[in-house]
Amino acid sequence: MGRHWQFYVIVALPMLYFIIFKYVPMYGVLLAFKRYRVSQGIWNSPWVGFYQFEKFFTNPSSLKIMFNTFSLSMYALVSSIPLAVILAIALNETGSKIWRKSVQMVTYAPYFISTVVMVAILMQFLDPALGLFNAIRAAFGKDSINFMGEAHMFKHIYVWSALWQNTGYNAIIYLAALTGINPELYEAAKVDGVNKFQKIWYVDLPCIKNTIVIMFIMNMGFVMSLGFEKAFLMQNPLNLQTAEIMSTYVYKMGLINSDFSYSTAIDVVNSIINIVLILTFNRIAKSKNKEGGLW
Amino acid sequence: MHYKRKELATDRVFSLVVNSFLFISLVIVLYPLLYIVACSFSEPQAVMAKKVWLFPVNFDLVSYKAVFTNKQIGTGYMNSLYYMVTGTVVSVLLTMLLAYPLSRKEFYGRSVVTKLILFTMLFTGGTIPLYLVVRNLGIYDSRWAIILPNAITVWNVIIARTFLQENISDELYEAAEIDGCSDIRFLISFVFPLSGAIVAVLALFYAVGQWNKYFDALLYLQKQALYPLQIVLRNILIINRNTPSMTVDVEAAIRAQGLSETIRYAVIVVASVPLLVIYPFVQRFFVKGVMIGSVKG
Amino acid sequence: MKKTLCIVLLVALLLPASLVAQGSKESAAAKSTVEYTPVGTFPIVKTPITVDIMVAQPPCVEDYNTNRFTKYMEELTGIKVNYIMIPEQAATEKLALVLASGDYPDAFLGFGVNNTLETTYGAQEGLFMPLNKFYSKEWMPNMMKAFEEFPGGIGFMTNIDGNIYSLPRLEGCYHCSNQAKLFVYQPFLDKLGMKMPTTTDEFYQVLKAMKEQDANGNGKADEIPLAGSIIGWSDQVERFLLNSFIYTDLDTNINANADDNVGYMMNNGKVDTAVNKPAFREGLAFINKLYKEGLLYNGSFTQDSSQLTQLVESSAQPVVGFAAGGWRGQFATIGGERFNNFRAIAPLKGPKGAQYSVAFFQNPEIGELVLSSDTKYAEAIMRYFDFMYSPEGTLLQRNGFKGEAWDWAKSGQVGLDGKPAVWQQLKLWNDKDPQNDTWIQTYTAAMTPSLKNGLASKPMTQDNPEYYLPGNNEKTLFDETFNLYKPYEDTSVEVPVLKYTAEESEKFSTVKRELANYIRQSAVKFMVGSLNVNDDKVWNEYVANLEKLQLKSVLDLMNTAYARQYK
Repeated sequence: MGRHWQFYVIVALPMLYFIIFKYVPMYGVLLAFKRYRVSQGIWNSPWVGFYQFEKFFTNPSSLKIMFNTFSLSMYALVSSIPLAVILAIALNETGSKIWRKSVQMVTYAPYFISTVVMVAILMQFLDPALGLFNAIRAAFGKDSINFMGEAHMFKHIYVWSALWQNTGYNAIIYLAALTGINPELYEAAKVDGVNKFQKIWYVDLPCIKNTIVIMFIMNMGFVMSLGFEKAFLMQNPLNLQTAEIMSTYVYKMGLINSDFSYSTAIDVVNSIINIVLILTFNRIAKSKNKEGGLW
Repeated sequence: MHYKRKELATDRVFSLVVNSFLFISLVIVLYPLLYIVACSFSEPQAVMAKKVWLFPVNFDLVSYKAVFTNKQIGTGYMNSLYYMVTGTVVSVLLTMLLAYPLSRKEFYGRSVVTKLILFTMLFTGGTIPLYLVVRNLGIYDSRWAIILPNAITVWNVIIARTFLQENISDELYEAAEIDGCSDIRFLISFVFPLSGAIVAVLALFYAVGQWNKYFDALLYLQKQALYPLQIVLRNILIINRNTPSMTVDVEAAIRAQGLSETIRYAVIVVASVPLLVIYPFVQRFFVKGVMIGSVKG
Repeated sequence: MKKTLCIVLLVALLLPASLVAQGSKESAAAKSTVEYTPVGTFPIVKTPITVDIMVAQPPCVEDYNTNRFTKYMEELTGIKVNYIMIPEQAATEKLALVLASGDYPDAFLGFGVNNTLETTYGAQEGLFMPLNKFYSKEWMPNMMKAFEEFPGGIGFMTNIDGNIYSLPRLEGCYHCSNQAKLFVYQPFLDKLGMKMPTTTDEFYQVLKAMKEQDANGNGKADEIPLAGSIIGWSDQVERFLLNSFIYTDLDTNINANADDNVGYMMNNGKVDTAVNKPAFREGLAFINKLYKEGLLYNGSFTQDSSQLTQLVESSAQPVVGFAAGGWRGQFATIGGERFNNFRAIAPLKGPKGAQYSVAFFQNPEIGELVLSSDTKYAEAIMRYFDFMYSPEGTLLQRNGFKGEAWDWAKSGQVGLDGKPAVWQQLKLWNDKDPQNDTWIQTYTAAMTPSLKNGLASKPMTQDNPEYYLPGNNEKTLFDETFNLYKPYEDTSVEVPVLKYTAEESEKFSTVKRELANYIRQSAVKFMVGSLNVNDDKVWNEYVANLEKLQLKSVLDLMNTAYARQYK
């Protein structure tokens, strides 16, 4: 301790925040093991052990829903990082400032389009009769496809529209990391006579490797918590088998009966899976590089 | 000479590849955005009939009028600006205060603290207990209820920590320590000035988060004078949806039918413009070569 | 060191225990010291009182506390209400949170508290006050009079434990009771020289003719004989067509309620389902045939009503022949040429003679006003809101002030149903613009059938060119419903509203949801052909799956409830 006691002073305020707003409310997790009675509050509601969990796991579609969530998340995650990194690198490499700023601004703009509008535009573009994509197909003499009616297409539509919307925004963090690379490294590379492709491969990427790994691992923590609004708006009877994910399911269950205990239990299941994922990948990352993990 | 020419050739190919990629990305992203803007400025019936492709059809400001005649828009904008600025300042400060010790190996509790905060990212107690905390703290129905409960995002702390680890070298620490600089002093004199890029990123992320937030406001606010923009905008969207009313008042229904389509676009534009505008300011901080000066000097 | 850290954390954790203290309400209902005037007279109290009511504020009302109608009520009754406004968007969440925090107002207005919540918060937890004694002529004469036009309404409001926990919204919408309608674009029929089809066979012929004989005369085979959407007000073609085979009350939107509109029907006095019957299969096969032959638009099961409207409107020449919807505004631009030329068609007669129009019960909306169980002002609040159930009160709350927004009818004016009119509308009813004159949204009010149909309208017959224009919309809907749909309504097959105990609700909620999902998904898959409806093996597997998903238990549950309430 001793010498670095000041660190504790510095973290005191932020930690106070965590205690008050994050740790104190955690007792709400207990709801997963109780049957919530508003009048008795969380503390006094009756215990029911694992009843809520049993209810979830004995439900026939639960496993399918978990699988949908997991695979959709992973697909989205694995495709989002490379694209964002490539965009960041490309932006970093262009000479013209104006060009760079303009492209950056444009690519980061879709992030602010609300989900409702995003899905509305998506449905429009995919419309069997009037949509852009089918118009292009028609120009090539092909039949129109009802994209939203094909269950197996759901994940592609979901992920690729998400890439369109988020890549620009995701690239920002990688761009910041690239900015921080020590210019001495570049000078050294120039002296060695590398071309641009090689520079990226041997200097840029290794320097931001840690950032990439961290982002990847952190995203693991949200795999099962995949947001609800977009999937909910895109669901229909023909794609529900792949489009029902944990959050939409919880919403339908929870809101109808205001069954907080049940939805809390499902959240606990999600959290456990997320934790396992993070631990696993962090371990893998650390085995490759001692400093590489999250902690 | 031969060597140099070859280098130029691959570099030119490289530039071509890079710029083509950027150009394609630009077009792919830009088109739907232009579509949205065009729809927002078009006559509602034209939008309904799918006549709009790239440019406004029958230029019409009716959607914007509907948005701006709402008396609460002005207050909503002001409130959101306030929350955004104050919230960002508070959040960035707290985040950096937390990230700095975490980036130092010498911080004994580093591993414990990291694990503690990561845990909160994965596990939450739910809406009810948080609501009770907010009420019992006496911040319910006040501006603090918007700024405090989600002040720190663990995600951003980790990003900041990683940045500091990568970019503030050990030599710098040692040099400062030899000079008798305390940890707090180091934070103020060295870390903050050198963290331009990451502070900019944090500010951007938090600002965007604050601006788009509405759920907290729904739960913790009662006074309309405190509502942020998002709530007002959502009200406008609700009020214009084409619901089957029991008594179908035709004039209102006619208006609502087309308007409900276009008004979303106007709402998007109105809500996003401030965020698009702050980006160039933030961009300024993505500048290379900041570090060189401090190490050499 | 680490130990010190831990101790510090522990202390820090324990300290804020006070932060999660739940407020507790005084348990004993305090004795009321209010002096009341006799019931039926105004003002209601001898000396003014103040009451707290939390209201789910819709965007069309600017401020309940400064609202002109609120002020009017205050002057009339002597009760000042402190309206605590919360955004309507957050109502459901807010209700739970407010109850959890133990800090309640005297009443909640406009939250639409549903049956399950009433059971939970009212019957089980005793947080809502039972209002049984107020449902009487002595206490709420206006409301009781309105209920006379809603037979079974009070039973509907009664919870399984015998108590009534809320005040209703009474709204009679004649055309809504047969809202699953199909409309045809008349010029197509005229061009083809064909009559309105009355049977499914004739319907098929007409569809084919539209497709093959260039009904819009532009030389291209671009006609779309039949189209619908899956998200919209009664936009589903199957809702209309299946009823030519078997009575089917099925909403194929998977996000719909899992209790109703899942194909349940009465069969010889017992609750049964249509979805596993051979006649249902034939209905699905018929629709599948239309789909396969390109007569039914392939986006009908994935698109929403705005896309349907685009389909009808966007092409230069009309292309859609038949469209489904609750009214023509669901799929056409109101007042446009296409809108004006669509006509309603009566339910078709199927091959076996089935011809049904699904009737949607005009039930009260429950949960418009609930009282906290420990409020001191129950009588005051009840009488305050009773006024709004009178015709005058309803019109004041909903439309605005007499002489400005509405007035009583003049003699000679005729209502929608052809009888003498009761009132006339002076200003358009507008729930789209924020205002502060009145409450606009109907909460605790009674737009009874007699009042609704008593709206003065211009008498017109069908051959009048203005008959089908938007301005006459209410009348056309009324007539179409009366002439074309009502005759095929058979209330004996309709399943009435069933109520469940809290345990039953909890036990079956997931089961019902799973079953509903499967039924809806399967029906659509059969109709588009991803499941082959003509293959016996596939069909039998489907029926078997229904059993596996506990169809029988759900039906037994429904029969238990039915016997409980109606036998």
